[in-house]
Amino acid sequence: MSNYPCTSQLELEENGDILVIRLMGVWEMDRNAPSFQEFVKKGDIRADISELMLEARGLEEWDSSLLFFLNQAKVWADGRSMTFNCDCLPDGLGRMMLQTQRVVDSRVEVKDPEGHPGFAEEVGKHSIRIFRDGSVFANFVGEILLSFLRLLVGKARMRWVDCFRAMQDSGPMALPIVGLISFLVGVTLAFQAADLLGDFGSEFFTPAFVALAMVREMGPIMTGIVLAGRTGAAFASTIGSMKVAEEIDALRTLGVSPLDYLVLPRVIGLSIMTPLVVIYSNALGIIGGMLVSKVKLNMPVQTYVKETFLNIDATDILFGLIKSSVFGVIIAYAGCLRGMNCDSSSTGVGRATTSAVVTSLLFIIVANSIFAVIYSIYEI
Amino acid sequence: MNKVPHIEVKDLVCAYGDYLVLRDISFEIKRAEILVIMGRSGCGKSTLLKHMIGLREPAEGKVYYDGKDFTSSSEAERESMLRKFGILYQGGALWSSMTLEENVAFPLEEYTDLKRSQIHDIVEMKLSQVGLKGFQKFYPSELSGGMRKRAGLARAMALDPEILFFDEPTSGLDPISSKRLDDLILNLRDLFNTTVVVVTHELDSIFSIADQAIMLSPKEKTIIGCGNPQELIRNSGDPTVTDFLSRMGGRQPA
Ligand SMILES: Nc1ncnc2c1ncn2[C@@H]1O[C@H](COP(=O)(O)OP(=O)(O)OP(=O)(O)O)[C@@H](O)[C@H]1O
Ligand SMILES: [Mg+2]
Repeated sequence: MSNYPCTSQLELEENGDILVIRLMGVWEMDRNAPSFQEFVKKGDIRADISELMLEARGLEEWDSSLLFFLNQAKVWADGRSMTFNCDCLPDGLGRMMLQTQRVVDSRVEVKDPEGHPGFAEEVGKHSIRIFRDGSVFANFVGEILLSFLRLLVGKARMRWVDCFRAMQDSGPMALPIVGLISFLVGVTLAFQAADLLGDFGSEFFTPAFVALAMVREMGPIMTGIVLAGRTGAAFASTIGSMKVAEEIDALRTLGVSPLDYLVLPRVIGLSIMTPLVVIYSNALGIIGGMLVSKVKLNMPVQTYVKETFLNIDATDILFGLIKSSVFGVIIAYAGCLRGMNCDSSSTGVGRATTSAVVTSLLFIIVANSIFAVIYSIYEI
Repeated sequence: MNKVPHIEVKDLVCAYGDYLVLRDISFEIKRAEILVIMGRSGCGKSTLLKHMIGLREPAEGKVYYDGKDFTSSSEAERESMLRKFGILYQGGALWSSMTLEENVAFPLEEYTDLKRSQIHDIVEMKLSQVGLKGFQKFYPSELSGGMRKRAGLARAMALDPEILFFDEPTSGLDPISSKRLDDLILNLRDLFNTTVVVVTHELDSIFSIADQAIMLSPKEKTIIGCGNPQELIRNSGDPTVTDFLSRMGGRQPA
């Protein structure tokens, strides 16, 4: 249709106190349809006009751009209390226009649109939000504890399938990526240690350094990060989508607590599985260190292994495992919390997923610092 | 018959935060009555339903079942009342990680001591009532929108509830399925004395099943018409109600 001649699409005529607008030619959105505002601005229109009349004798093709133009014309005419005369428009156009008008008319005033808040108001609102967020976090902890108690006294109905699925997803399925990352971290640690300690002629302590760093810090942290991104995000999006589809409501109205049924299995699953994955992560990190020591320091494998076990003891390992179990709980907690509080829309699910990852990373780092303080106080 | 209304809603105010959706909602439903809640899209029908079944707490007002206060009852009492409800959500709300069979069986497993084989048979019967026999092993994502809705209906009916709440059961269904569903609702009422609360826009359904209808308005934010639809269309003073029931004058009163 684009081979129509691009004729002028509008004509203006003042006829006594009637303003006549003639619509002509082709009106298509992608063909530069004229805007009413510009059109009014260009021609100066006398103030004593009392009627706006529309004609469409030369009109060939039209789409919504014409409708839009007409609507603007009507608003303009109404604003100047002119009569808006569309009797000469083709039948369909007139009807369509009435319909558009009606939708606009039946609009119901909802909330008052708020103006731009001032700085003080903004700060106040944020503080309230932070406070509210805080109580949401605390509430959810309480709810999970209650749910756990219910499980202990045998009153909770838990979905074990979900527990196993969570364990599978955070365990076996996550092994390749956890393994790769831990191995590389071990390699990096060994390089750093060999360099740094080498300056003092004590590169012999490389195995000890790698082992302690892996077992106490890097193993749990790296595993935590991977699981937060994998499993925590999956929890948030699964539970969030269930919320959007009213599946959670359907559980509730059946008298089944979504906490018992959906959240608890995930928390339990992750708290069991994370330490196991951390053991694996520690092992791979140490193997990475071994490789570097072998290549760079020419240290025999037996010596490396012997040095490793001389320098870490059960408390170190246990400490790391307890810590990682807490990380597991944090990841499941953040994922489920964000999922359960998800807005009812698909963007809501996206946001819930993002904020689940961010929240769990933040909490993991905070918890890790707390553990570090405890560690140094008790000199474990 | 029992004088106490089966469901009584008294001075209910529904709000999301400080956004008021409905106020001054009061009505009663007798046992084995079918109530239709109607109104334009977005007027708060689903919201009212959610307040009636306790998914949202009323800002003010109360809901009574059999004269018992539902709104301020303890959790245990509430659970025992919820047991008697069957609810069909607007989008079906089937649990997406379970097959149809598991979905319908879930309430039965939860609340009855039936054996596996018995549950299997009941599920099959309920699914065939809604025309979904043979789809037991399908997941909700493998069904069409209308089929999901019907499956949701089967789940709502699983425990032979005393009260059924339907949020737009016929939207997305073809005329024949809609008609079957209306018949099913009437049958349930006649055979089991089920009280039914239905949210619907379908005029045909409204006129064929409703004993009582209430009309909500987004402008007034409350009930603007209440009564039998046949009478409402004739002598409700409100043009909005008449327009709605006659499709803006396009439908003549039967
Ligand atoms: N979770 C919510 N938070 C805030 N406002 C909401 C929420 N849910 C619904 N609303 C608002 O409440 C009003 C009523 O919504 P509701 O879903 O009850 O409408 P409805 O009558 O069921 O409409 P429909 O026929 O389209 O299903 C709407 O204006 C909507 O914006
Ligand atoms: Mg609705």
